[in-house]
Amino acid sequence: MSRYIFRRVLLSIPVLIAILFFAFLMVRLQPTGPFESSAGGHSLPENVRLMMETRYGLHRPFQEQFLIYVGNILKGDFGPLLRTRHQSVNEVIAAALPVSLQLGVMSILTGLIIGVPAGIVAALRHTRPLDYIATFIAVIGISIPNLVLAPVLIYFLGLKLGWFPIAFWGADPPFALGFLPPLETSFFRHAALPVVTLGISISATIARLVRSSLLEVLSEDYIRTARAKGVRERVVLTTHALKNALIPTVTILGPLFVALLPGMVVVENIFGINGLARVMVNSVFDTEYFLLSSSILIFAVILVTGNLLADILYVFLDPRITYKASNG
Amino acid sequence: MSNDINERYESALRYAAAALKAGLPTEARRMALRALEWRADRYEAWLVLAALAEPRAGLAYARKAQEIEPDNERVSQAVAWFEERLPGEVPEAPVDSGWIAAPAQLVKDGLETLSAPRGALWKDAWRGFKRHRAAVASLVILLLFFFMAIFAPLITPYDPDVASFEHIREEPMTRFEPDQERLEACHWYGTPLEERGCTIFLAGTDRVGRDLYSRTVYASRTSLSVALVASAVSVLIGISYGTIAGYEGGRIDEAMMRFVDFLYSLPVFLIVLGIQSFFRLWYVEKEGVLGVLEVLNRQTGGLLFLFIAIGAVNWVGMARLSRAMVHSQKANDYIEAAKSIGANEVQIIVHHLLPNIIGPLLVMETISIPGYIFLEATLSFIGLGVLTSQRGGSAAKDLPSWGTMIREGYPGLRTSPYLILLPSIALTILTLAFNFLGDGLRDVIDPRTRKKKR
Repeated sequence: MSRYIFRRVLLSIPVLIAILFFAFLMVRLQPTGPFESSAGGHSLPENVRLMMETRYGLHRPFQEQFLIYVGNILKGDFGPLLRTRHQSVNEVIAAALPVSLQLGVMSILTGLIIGVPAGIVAALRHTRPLDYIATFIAVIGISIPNLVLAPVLIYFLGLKLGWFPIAFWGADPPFALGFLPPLETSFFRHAALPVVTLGISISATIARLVRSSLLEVLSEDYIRTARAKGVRERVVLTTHALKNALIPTVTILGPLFVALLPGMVVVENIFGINGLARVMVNSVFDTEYFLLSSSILIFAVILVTGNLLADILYVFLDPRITYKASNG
Repeated sequence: MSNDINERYESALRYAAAALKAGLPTEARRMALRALEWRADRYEAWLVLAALAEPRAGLAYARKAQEIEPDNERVSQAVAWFEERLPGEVPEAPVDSGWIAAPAQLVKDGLETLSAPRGALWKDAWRGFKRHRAAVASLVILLLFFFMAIFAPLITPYDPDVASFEHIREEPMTRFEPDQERLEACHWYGTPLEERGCTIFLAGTDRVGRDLYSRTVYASRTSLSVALVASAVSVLIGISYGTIAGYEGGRIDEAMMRFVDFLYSLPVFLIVLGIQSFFRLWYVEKEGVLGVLEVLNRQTGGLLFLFIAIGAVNWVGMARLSRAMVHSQKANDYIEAAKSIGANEVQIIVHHLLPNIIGPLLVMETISIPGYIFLEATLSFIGLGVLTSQRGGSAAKDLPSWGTMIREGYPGLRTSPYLILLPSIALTILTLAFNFLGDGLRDVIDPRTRKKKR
């Protein structure tokens, strides 16, 4: 078991290095640098540009730059900002990452809180109206894109009814322990719309998964045995069926985390939230080399770790899976 | 429970076939009868019995099979074969070797349909599909979208790029007095429809005075072409890669799949973002292949690079899936049979293997189409999708895209919500239709859910 975890962790390292190299490569191969104007605007004089590039080490060969960059990251330094003097990439990330984490974690929690009960109810009312309604709503929930849902929620719940604020995150760094949000009503009121926007598609995915896996478990022989023994229906459901039906849900948490990213980019842009997803996209347009590749790296680390944790949790929960030294 | 019966039936049939091959007709007959004990309402076992019986009984058995499956080609072949050999009412028992050989071939064919139910699969699938009302409705809606995209110039009054600064952010259904230039730009100028389209903004105009209705309709071209090309790329690369890996097996398979596993662990959105940010500033390059690509991309309004970026990463899932399916099919008798008659690898893959796995694979691809549409809309929303004149983009005119329209419209939500109304509805309905279609198709073709319904 521990060997399996160790192996998985080791295997994710080359993935991260590849992503970092890829991000660095894609950014650096662009024909125009940060100190050249791209759209035919005013360019810096040649000697000034060279001086600036020398200052940030951009005149060196590519592979040398990459090694220096990786070395700096290992020392905990993500590099300088190219357009703003008084800030470093570290500071930008320290301010933006907690906000994105709060948004993502709250969205997934919302998805679980809505999705799991909805899936259970649908499965228990299989082929009855409630089931059809639930599965129909779930397909709609999966199909509505974030960039449609967010304006709809803003328009009706924010502008027409005035229940929730329609922009900003409602909490600023520094946070407690670096990432914990303040437990104030103002914060949750601000967070409501963005979190619900992201949470709805997640809850729909989870509801569908829980429904189908619970249906599968309920048709197993051991459930029939339990019922035949005279075990009460509630006990059959909670101790026999649910425990096994929820295991597959754990496996989808990793991919869900990955799928969350484009949604976060959209939501942070629409709601004007200063999170890392928005920072990452903006750095493309500002040609902030170090900020872009660093934020790609950070998201990659989060996503790969999330996947890894989900896999490990799955192995813990499902006693049927064993990893022997030979195959693990 | 019914699964069990089917499984027993099928394994009995397999025994029967093996016995037939080994030249043990009595044993084969016994097993076929046992198969009938499990499922008398399926035709294959009757066909086996027919092959083993003397002609008159054989005809009876074959007719029984025909009763169950009147449309099955092989069954009709079997009936025809027996009828041919039983002219009139006087049965003679011809004991020539061809008599045994031909029905044996028929049985083999019948078993082949059992292990790889090709024709039956499509027929079953269509029958099941028709039951899914939501899926059928989605299919109709999708066809409408395709018509909309193809005939966009006919059903819109204006080209999506006709702008006028005198009509900025007009409300829907605003009537206006068009100048001559604008009238001439109108598709319906000089037609009976002129009064309805050329002098009225059906859905309002955007911040540079372009007709929102026309832009929304034209944008369906962007979405659908991304959906189609991305899935075509994914299917082509994914299936060929997966099939080669699965068919070759061994070291080659392992090496190829290691690479795929690696790609699979990369977050798709980050990769597409990286590729698109790389392409965004690319237009400076003017020479050689890169220059040609760049020009092509500009002429398609940024679609080319979108195709490349989205297609480049999304074939991985398809490759895994097709490899798994090839693996499960490779051990089947019909592949062995094809090998034994001297078919080469390419023939086996193209003529025998692919036709049997392509259906489920295409269905799986349908399920991932909403993802491509989302991705295109999201990328266009953040300015990394279709080329735009915004955010330092290099385009002279914007290719219409629902994502771009929503980005341009949502800041004006308070005063003019109609700016994003139409593109939002179109985007939602399109993804909804693809999702329902995919769900319906999967239910129909997925053997697990299919067996449950029997």
